[in-house]
Amino acid sequence: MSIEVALVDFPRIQEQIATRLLADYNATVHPLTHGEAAERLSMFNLALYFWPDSGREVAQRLRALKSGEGAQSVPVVLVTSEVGRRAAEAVIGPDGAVDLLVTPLQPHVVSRKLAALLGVKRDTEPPRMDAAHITPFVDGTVDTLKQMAGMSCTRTNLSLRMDGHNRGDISGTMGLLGKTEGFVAVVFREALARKLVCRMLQINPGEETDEDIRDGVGELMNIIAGAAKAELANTEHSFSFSLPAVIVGGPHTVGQIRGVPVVVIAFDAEGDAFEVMVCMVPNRRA
Amino acid sequence: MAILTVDDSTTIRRIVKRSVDEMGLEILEAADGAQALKLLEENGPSIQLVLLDWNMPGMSGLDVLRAMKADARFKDIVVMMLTSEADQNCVVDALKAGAQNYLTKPFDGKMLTLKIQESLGLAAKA
Repeated sequence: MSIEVALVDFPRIQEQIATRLLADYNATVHPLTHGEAAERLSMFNLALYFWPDSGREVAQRLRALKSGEGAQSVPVVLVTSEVGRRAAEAVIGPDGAVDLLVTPLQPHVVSRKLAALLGVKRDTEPPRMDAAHITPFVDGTVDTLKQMAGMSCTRTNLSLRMDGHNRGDISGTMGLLGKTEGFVAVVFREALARKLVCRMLQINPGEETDEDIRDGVGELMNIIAGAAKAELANTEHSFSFSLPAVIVGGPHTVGQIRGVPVVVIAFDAEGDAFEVMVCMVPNRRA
Repeated sequence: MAILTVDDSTTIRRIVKRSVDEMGLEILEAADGAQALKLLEENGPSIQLVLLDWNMPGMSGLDVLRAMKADARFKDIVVMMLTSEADQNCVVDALKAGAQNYLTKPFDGKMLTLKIQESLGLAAKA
């Protein structure tokens, strides 16, 4: 089923995010001003109305939006920030908005609300922080640094990020393809990358070249992915991987799958922080 | 007596070279399968052991292994896979194709030396 969604008064960046998320639901998105939407709201299955933090006239504006013929039956969801939440909550009810989304928009929240409002589901549900497919990457990273560079590291945090953007200086990244597809990346600051490579090669600090760093980071990525691949073989998360690519210069983006969050595993390696980013979704073609 | 290390990563080739140097043996290096086969053509009789990565641009390590085992001049050279492919299915595929030993990355220097010595022992018996 194709759904027609009006994005009302959305700032450009929020429009891009919403469009990206809604594309996974076979939705056609129409960015409109409040005036445009009020004239033809009945044409849509759903309206997302962006409500700025500073707005005070939300109840009146909502009534105006829904005043046209046939518009009352179109569900309107307010989209606002945490700051605007209280004002927006006050107008949720039979004559106002049916629900509220708080920015930043999270795929699993959008999924739940769209399912409730329109009965539509995302083609592939975004992954959660599932230990079954994250633990092998954690273990593989710890083991790889220990064995290849004699460096101890521990996991310090686990979080979700909506894209592969990071503040590292150098990243090794690999594409994954199999029952799941996506990418994995290891992201270092330059100082830690140099330290690791010197230890791997058993050379003194300062003797390493930029090419040594590139190759060493790529190989670390290759080994981490290999270790995780072996652990996940014969499971629903099994995959093959591409040759590693290395990105130098930060900040940069290592990869992105539209609407799918990246699991970011933070590590501490003897006082230096680094990250492993994992983004996997079921491969429906496999 | 020489050992040929085949890996697209210079980091791994340098780590292997360090271990082989410490053993007092000659080391030859190839960055891909085609270069490995060329070095085998040129130095075949002196090469007793090939350390072979799996995932490389062009020919995979498994392709190189199969090419070696199909060539009467190289089929008796001992091959140890040295790869991040730790999946048991890959190990079985490599052993079936004629690899005599298998070491998965990550590895530490001691394990690498031990595995090279073990493989050279196999080479001596061959």
